Amino acid sequence: MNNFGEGKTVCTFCGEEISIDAKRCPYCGSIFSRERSLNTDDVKTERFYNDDSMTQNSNSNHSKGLIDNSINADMSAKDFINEEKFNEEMNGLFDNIPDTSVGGKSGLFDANTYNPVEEKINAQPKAEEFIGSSTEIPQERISMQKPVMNNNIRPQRPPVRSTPDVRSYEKPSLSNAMKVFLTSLSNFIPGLGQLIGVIMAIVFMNSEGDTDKRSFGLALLVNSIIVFVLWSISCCVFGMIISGR
Amino acid sequence: MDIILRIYFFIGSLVCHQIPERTVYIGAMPLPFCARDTGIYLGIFIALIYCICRGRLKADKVPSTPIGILLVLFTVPMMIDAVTSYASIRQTNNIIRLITGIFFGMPIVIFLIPTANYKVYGSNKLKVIDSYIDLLLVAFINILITFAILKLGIPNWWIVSTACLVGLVFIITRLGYTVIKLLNIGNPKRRSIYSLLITAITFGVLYVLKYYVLEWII
Repeated sequence: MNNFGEGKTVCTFCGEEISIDAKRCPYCGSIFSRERSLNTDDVKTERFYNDDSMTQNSNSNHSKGLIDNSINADMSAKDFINEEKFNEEMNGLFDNIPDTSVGGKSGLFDANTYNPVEEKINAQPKAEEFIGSSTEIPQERISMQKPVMNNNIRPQRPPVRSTPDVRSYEKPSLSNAMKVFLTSLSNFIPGLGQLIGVIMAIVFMNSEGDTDKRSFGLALLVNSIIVFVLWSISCCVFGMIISGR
Repeated sequence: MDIILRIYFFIGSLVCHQIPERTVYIGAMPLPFCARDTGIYLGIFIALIYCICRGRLKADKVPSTPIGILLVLFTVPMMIDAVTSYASIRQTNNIIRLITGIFFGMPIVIFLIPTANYKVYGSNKLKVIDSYIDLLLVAFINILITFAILKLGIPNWWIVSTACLVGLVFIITRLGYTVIKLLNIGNPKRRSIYSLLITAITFGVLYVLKYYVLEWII
């Protein structure tokens, strides 16, 4: 997108004037949020350039656009799932756009026909060809290529996904219903509820590698202790009222 | 000395009914807290001193599940004693109140100290209670001190009262500190000041509750 006065810009897809904060063009429906976040994605994904051929190409700013075609994926599982949602949305939007991408594939967002190995092999000659050409990249072309980069993330997800954080995200070990039940139990039953809450919290906090349980256990323990103190104060006040002091 | 004595009794009055019949006497002087509250705050103080002496004030690992359950069970006698005596099901006395109170206060510290330092996304190394021997040791110290207060009269009034007061202030401050740390509020270097501020506010609220709200209700 190009800056166009204060708070306004131009949609690179349809050319209409839109707000600079807009995430989606109100005229053509193009999504800009991902395009903006690509700058940060580039920084993050540089850590995962394990392929030597890729690092060699990264010397040139112009070739960067082509290298990004075989960019590695973001590490976060959450981002990966968001990415999939985004790709699905973009597939729906761009299915009918004629091919202007470098790969010359039948569709811009056709992940099924995309071959990451082939793309990596072709990346360097394409980059050299691109550097050799003295012409500027049309803004429209850059904008149309970036969704392709996003699409390419999918097959290159890092294979090592077994950290505790990711496991707990992918499959929460405690259901929300159980959490609500235990919290309610520890809050509304004086004495016994807090004791059960503390025991469950200790059990959860001792479960190694399960961050969901550990996190909830910590919250439950603090909650149980605070509620215990509040119930004790209430009982004390009640006792004072009864005894008339 | 008289002013300090008044301060002690004033703070005691904020959290305790101070009924003379339910208060332990050392010499001719009643303690600023009732027998049950004396036990609770003394238990907190003993556990705190134990953690300081063993270098467990920065412990980040909660006790193991069996020890945790045992600690929770330590609190049950006081609850049963309080409920049954208030419900006039049975009679209790100051010795039972004090002993059950001490065993009620001790686990609170053991649970609360590692809570503030606990790391969800990392490994926690330093246990606040290592084994059953540690637990038995703390329990034995508790029983010993109870016996010393009730039967031998060894510690004087000032030591016991100050220990109870320290226990009370510590538990409120530590609870405030834990909440501040978990919610990640404010500058991390000033958390101690914030928690002391919370303690002062708590005492202010208790004062209003005791001398205005409760007086109005009664």
